[in-house]
Amino acid sequence: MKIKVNLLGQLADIAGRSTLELEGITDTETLQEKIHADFPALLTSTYRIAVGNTIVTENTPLQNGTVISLLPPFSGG
Amino acid sequence: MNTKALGERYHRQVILKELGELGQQKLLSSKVLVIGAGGLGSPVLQYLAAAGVGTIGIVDGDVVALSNLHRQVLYDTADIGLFKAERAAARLQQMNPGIAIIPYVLRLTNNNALDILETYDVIVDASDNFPTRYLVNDACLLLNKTLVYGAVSKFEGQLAVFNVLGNSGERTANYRDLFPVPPKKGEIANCAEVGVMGVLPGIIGTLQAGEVIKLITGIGKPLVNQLQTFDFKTNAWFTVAFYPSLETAALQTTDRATFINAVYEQVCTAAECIEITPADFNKLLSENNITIVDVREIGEQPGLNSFEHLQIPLRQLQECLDTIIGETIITLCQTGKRSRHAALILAGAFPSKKIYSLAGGLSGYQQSFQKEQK
Repeated sequence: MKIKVNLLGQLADIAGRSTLELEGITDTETLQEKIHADFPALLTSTYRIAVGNTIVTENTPLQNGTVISLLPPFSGG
Repeated sequence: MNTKALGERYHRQVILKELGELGQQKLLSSKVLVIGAGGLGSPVLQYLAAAGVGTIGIVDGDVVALSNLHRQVLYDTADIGLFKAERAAARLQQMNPGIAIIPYVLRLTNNNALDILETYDVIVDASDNFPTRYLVNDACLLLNKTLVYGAVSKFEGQLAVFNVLGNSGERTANYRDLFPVPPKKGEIANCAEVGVMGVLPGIIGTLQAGEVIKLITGIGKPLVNQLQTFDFKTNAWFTVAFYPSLETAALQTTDRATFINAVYEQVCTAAECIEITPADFNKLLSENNITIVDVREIGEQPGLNSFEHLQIPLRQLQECLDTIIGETIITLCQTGKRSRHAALILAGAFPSKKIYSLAGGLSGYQQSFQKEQK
């Protein structure tokens, strides 16, 4: 099972890339554990998780091929 | 200005049957407040003035700097050192003498925000910092105003329309439904620190002006309960849905006095909220002078009887701050999300106390406890 993760804004700078392809991630909580372990600076970053085209608030199961986006806030104007 | 000239000025949009003379009258009789006359504010203001929005307020306390000019296209080199709100007002008045432009040379604060916002129909957030964004959002909720949001960073932008009145009296999602509490100070860099591509606020600001015109004229559908993002590098547009939530409703100020006393400048500087593991939570349980606050709703299961605690649902936390004593406070809930919000509120209210949130909540705590026993 493979998922794709898009990192937006400064999250891409933290991870050093704007997309990740991950195997064996079954839900959004496991995803967070994985990316926080791989990129510890994300642990203290503010962001929301979108599964497909919807921002999720609870742990959400993921399917093969799901595209996840991590959205940080921007302050600039 | 005579009627013929007026008719001619707006002719190309009045002949759109969806807009028509009625739509133009709506624009001419509308009042829009633009907060921030910088990169986003420049296109917002120019297009609203050109379209004939009858009264435009401009809030900005800054002066024009040379480093603004690559993106703040409302100004020219001779404007450097002059107040943006005043220069913008003069420029817009030249562009369209038939509308009223009101400059407010000031920084928006708790004390002046409600009085200024109150007299406008639609508010545009074109500001450049988080304290102002949260202040404007909360003021719009309190005053039942629709807020058109735009923000940029480096090569990316965000656009959304908040707090629109629905058919059954409900309001659409707002900024706190998207990002409930401000990031810590220094976490998110601003344009001065990381830079911004000049055309980017031009793109996002132009779309903000478009949303304002849609809201006033009723043309099309405003971007409610959705966040739209744009990536300059890839030309990718991405729209995600999000919805009003009870949890974030608890973070809103519900009356003028609370709003005026709320601390927005320090929201971003509040002591970092520290999440603790179930193991650390157990260690802290054995210490004296700790206060545990269960921020779940009354009656939520499982009930807690293995240690002393206060029960204050998140939505009542602001009003019950007086009842929380002790130098070390640990918040908890079912999954650790509400307790994190609560800890951030407490960290803002009690900067000198130690505030922790139980990571993973009671669910995580019970799971780790069961693992230990196996």
